[in-house]
Amino acid sequence: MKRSEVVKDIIRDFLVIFASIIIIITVLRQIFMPELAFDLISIYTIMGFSLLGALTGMMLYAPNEVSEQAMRVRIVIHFLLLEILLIALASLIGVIASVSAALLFALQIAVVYAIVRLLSYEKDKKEAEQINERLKAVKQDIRG
Amino acid sequence: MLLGVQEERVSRIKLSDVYYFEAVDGKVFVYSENQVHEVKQKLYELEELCRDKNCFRASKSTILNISKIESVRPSLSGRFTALLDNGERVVISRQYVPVLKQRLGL
Repeated sequence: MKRSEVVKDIIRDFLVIFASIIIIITVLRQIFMPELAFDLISIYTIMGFSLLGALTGMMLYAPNEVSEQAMRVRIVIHFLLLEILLIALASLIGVIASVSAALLFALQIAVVYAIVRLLSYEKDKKEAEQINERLKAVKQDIRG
Repeated sequence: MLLGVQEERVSRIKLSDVYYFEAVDGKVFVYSENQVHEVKQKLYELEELCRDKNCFRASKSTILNISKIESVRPSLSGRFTALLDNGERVVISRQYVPVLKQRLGL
């Protein structure tokens, strides 16, 4: 894959992760702490976390062909790396201070990760449907 | 027409019978409906040769014949798998999906 395409993908992932975290935190705060306002430092922190998360996606780009199984192993390692990095960073800057907070944070990361994967898979499914329709038409043309 | 080698026997292979080409350990193989032959050409040479024969680069190591694809589906790893009309499955790298779409006029 071209470097420009990798950069484009990382920027897209960064925006999706950032937007998902903001939406989830907004809903959770609305329910549990509606009086608390977002400060600038919180936004920058979330932005930093999102960028870090998106950058780990580089490990999914292999210069050589890898098997389906190897790719799935990479995805699992990527997810675990993301969990470790973000929880370590959150505890370093004091966002989480207890085991229960760390577990809740890990769950939030898992939800965002699942959303990103699901959105990507849904987009691919639509693309595959489009290709399959065209393939059918091309085959009919060849037979006709 | 291509010349392919299978068990020291040389055969002529029509390009329209080719399902896909694959490079493995420096050797290039041509897959037809139920046979595999080794060919002397490099993958990039075959890509050039088959450009007008409905073939496209599907990954770094394969060239696929569009007319032999039954359907395409995404995989959980973010890549696509092509089901060929002989039942074989071939991986299409994400980066080459736009090439397939372009060849199909999408």
